[in-house]
Amino acid sequence: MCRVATWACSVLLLCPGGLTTAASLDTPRWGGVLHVAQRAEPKTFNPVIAVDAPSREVLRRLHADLITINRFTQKTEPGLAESWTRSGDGTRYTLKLRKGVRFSDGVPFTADDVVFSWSVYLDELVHSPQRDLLLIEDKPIRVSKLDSYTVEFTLPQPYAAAERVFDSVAMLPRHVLEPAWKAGKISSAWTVNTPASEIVGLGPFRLKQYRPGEAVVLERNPEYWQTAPGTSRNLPYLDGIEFRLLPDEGVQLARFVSGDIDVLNRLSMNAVSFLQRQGASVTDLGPGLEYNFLCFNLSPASPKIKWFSKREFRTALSLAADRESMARTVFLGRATPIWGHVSPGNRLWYSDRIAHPKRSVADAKQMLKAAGFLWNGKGQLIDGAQTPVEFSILVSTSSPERMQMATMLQADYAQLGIGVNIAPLEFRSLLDRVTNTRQFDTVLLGLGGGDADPNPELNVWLSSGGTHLWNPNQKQPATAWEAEIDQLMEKQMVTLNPSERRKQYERVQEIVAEQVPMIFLVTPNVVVAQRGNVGNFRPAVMDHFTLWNSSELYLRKGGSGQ
Amino acid sequence: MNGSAKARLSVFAGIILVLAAGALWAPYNPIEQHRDISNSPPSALHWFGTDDYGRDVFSRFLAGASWSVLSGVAATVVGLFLGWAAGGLVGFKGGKIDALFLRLGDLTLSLPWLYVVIGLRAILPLDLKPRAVLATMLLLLAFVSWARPARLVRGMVLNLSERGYVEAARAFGVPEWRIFVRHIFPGTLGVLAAQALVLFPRFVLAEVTLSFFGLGVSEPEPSWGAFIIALKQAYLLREQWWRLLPVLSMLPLFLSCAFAVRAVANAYRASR
Repeated sequence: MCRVATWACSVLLLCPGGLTTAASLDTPRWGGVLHVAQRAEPKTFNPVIAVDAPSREVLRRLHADLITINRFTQKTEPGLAESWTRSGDGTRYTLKLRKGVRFSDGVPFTADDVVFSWSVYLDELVHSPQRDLLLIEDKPIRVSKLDSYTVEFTLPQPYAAAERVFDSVAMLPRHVLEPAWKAGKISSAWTVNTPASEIVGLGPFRLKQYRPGEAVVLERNPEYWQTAPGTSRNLPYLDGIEFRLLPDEGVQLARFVSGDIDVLNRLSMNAVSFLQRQGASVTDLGPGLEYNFLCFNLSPASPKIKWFSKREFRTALSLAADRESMARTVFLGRATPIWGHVSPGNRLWYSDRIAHPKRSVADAKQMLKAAGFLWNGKGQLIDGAQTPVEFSILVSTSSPERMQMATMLQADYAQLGIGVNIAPLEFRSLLDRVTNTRQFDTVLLGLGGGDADPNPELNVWLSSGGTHLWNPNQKQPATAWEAEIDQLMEKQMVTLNPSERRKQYERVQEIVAEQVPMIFLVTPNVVVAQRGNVGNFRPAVMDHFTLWNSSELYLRKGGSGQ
Repeated sequence: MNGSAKARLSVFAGIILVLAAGALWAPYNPIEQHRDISNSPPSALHWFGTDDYGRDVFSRFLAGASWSVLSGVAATVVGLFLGWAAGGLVGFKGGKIDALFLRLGDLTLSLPWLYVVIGLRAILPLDLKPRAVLATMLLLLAFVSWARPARLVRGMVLNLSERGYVEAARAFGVPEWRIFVRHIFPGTLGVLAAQALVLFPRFVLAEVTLSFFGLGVSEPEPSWGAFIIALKQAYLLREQWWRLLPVLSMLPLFLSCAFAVRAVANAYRASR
């Protein structure tokens, strides 16, 4: 089965149409270096083992995949494979590779490289994060070479989102990496200390220089296979991209305003207000896919399970949460209240059948009373054993927005007579408590798929999943409703009929919203900025928000790279 | 001690007293949220404006001051007592325990206290009230801060032990404990007083630092560290300059403390 649990912040959504109409009317200009701010250093230049966002953001420019998801349309489109066909039973995909494609060192790309890449990613000893993506029901997707430019992928069973699996699986140069793989050393290949000339790829750019603490510099890949529309000249338009490593958002803003940076990715809402006052070109893409939620610990050993296991209790807390205030106060109005885990930004899968009950402390109190709770003389909520209801909210110290949301929930629940302790923890300690030791009452987190499709979040919704946050790794579903979710998720995974599949996943959304194992709160908007000098700028809500079409971006006259 | 020094110490003591009782002066409930007036600028009703949740910042500054000052005093007392007890004992007794003490002191001084506290926070039970968490942190800080005053006290005790009047008392057969209490302990009080003035602002700053990293007093309790967090987004200050007011208002405490330390140092030099 596909297993991806993407923690927070990687989001996907179409941007409103027509945002860059003016830009698209320009005649693209060749040359120049685009300067982009990046928060952290890349940890590796090896696409097989990269898990951190900074590395992946750089690597996406250096490598290419067979079938790619267009971040703007959200649909799959040809990458290194120019076409493909699916067998009638949905278990075999035959891909025709583009001819004449060369790696950045000039060596031709063939079916042997595809077979090699697949072998590396599936190698258990390599521990590639992509491996889980290439398994369906724990069985691998196999590949065989039909001829030098044709490969066939065989799936263990039909898989609804099979074409999307190929996105972000970088094709590797067999002639460079095979010796390292055979020696069992591929994980230590292509580190940040490897000379730039040894790193070979099929992407629009190649590595020129890495200056630790300062910048990652990419230059045009002269062998890139895509041609500019209406010409015979190879893309990219840009001579290069320079990722400037600026960990502090304030510094990024100052450099952007002074003209040192052309593009800013995913801004905080305070930064948006600041930039707007400076007259910068800010693009609000609307709600992203990230959803913030309060998750109850429903594990049998949870010390608060006697309260949390009551659906009425969870529903009452959901009713008392002031989502509108959160959107207005924490995100300065650039967020949308949510009652289900699929955000309105996900146009493919959002269901308008999920109820949006209005906030009502009175209704919440009524519900608690019906569930057997009472209030003592001090106004504290007490259970049948006269125990005051108190619990803690675990929240990451690195997320000021979630700290603010927790503070607002604390005040909201005080109106119900519930005492809430906020427990700020460093993110890794928090994850350890949530996924391993299970020593927490509730946790405020955010999740968001790198893809709009439900399958990357299978591990969250299946009761056996390691990131089934309220009660993970169940041998048998603990409740009837979790069993129903399991059945529906497994069914939608192999249903090839899109409308049938949609109905199944809508039902999953309904069950989650009805049972409230998580209280869904808000989805923040995705906001990006550019200095107005970047052509073909078509930001999308899927990671990387602004550079996904880097081969097509160009600089108008007056850019920082001029 | 001259008049100027006494005045400086009086100002410092006065500021501490006013701030320690800050919660009593707070015009509003510092934790009550009024979300409809969030992030308001200063006005006659809200002198320092309101925060993200519409809470009165001036009230939170005063209530936070009480907690910062009182926790600073408590941690100073604990740290000094531990330092005095350890330094006095090893200085007076000497021998193998002295060597062990010196190594233990080195170890303690080399501890990266911030990381120790972060690690400790991760293993604390989550049900602890915010103030209990902070009290635990400050006690821990006091425990890791004993080494410096202990070394000073040890040096002073070694020095005093060789004085003529101590030798005379020993010759007359006065018990050791009595010699320590009557002749040596009073001589260490000056060192302790000076150390108190040095340690106190450190502990207040420690509380501020912990809260800055989200590890000190947690919401909804007010904390000085929370005001510093606003400075992380320095670009905000162009529009919301009033976020600086509570930070600037902390300065008198630290400045008066610095002046008091200078006054004590000058008085000590003059007495020699």
